[in-house]
Amino acid sequence: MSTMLEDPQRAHKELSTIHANSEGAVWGSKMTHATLALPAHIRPGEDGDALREALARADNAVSLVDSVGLATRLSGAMRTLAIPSTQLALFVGFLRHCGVLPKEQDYSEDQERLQKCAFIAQRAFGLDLAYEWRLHTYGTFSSFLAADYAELAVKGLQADFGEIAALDEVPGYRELAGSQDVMPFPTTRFEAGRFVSLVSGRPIEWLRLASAVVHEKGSFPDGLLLERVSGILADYDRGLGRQVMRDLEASRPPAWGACAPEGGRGP
Amino acid sequence: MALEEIVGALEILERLGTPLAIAGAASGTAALIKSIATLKRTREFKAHMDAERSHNTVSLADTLLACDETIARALAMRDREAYFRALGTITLTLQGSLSQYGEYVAHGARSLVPDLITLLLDASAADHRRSARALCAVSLQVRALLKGIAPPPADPGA
Repeated sequence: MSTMLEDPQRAHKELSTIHANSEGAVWGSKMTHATLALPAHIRPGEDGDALREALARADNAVSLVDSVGLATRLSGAMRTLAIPSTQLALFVGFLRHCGVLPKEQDYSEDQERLQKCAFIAQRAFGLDLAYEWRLHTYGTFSSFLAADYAELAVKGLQADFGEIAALDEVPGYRELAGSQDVMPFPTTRFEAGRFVSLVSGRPIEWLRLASAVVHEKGSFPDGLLLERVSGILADYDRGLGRQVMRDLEASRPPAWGACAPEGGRGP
Repeated sequence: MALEEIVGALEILERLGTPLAIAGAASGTAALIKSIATLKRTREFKAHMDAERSHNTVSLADTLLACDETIARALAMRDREAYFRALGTITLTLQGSLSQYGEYVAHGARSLVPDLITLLLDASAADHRRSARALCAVSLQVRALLKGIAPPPADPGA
């Protein structure tokens, strides 16, 4: 498995944008490339003086101390990548990092909020978690997300998203990353900033309703969405429904309008 | 009305006064006895309902606990056929128990019920490995449900 670092000059300036690869191995903008090659203008095999001279000229030379710090950080990131269901683990870590989920892991407290957030992130904000979803009387639910999260919870596995995000601040990281060619691979853009500002601090009733609206979006005209959802959800609140529609429209998720429902169609 | 007629009516009332008083006292006593009996029956019914609610609460909790233990045993099974047989029994027991005593799940925990049913359905239709992972999640859902068991509120008029 190769890890991948987006070009920091380009991608890391956008802290709100997080990438995921198609193989499901890497998630997050702060992941790093597999090989840490020398800059292209330095060729191993030239005499040592030329190499030293080239390094001295290079603005992005990395000190040993910086490299050790970076390696330590990278090993933390690699530990995260060894966790099963890496993408979900990183997403959970990301939600904890952003305060959407509490810092301490508690399955019964987190599970439902995670379910709704993951669905909204996947369906409306382009995060490629690749789960299938069902819509029932309390919003959307994915059995295999629950299974993956149960595995993480039972084994006490947590991805420290802050550790990965902090790679960017490690001295030398940008220089090392900047010396790499960006490996082209299919990425899915996840509009993390807009997603977090939409779901942050919302009560679970809001998330249930929003997940149902996003699920049904595309299969019903916008004007009938709330009527449709009111017939599906238990404890439907008309005022909250209107607020959810306003919030979603104001947030303008990238996939809003293009999301075709998949999976179950409600009870 | 003539004066004589009024006097006659008063005389009749005077004669009937004692029997009327006796009849009134008797009917009042009967009503009192009846209301005491009603109150007693109401209290008996309330005690019965309290016992019933308590029994149902314990019954649901016991069933969930038993299911959780059975899930742990099923997860340890190597034999796929035995595993799926156990899963079928767990599914029937959980669904039956939750549909019978659904109101004993507190309002805030009620969303766990359809989640649990969905998990069981998906666990029964997946291969052994994926099914076992889903069943592991069922176990956590059952434990979360156990924390959310609460008898429904009693009728305040009873």
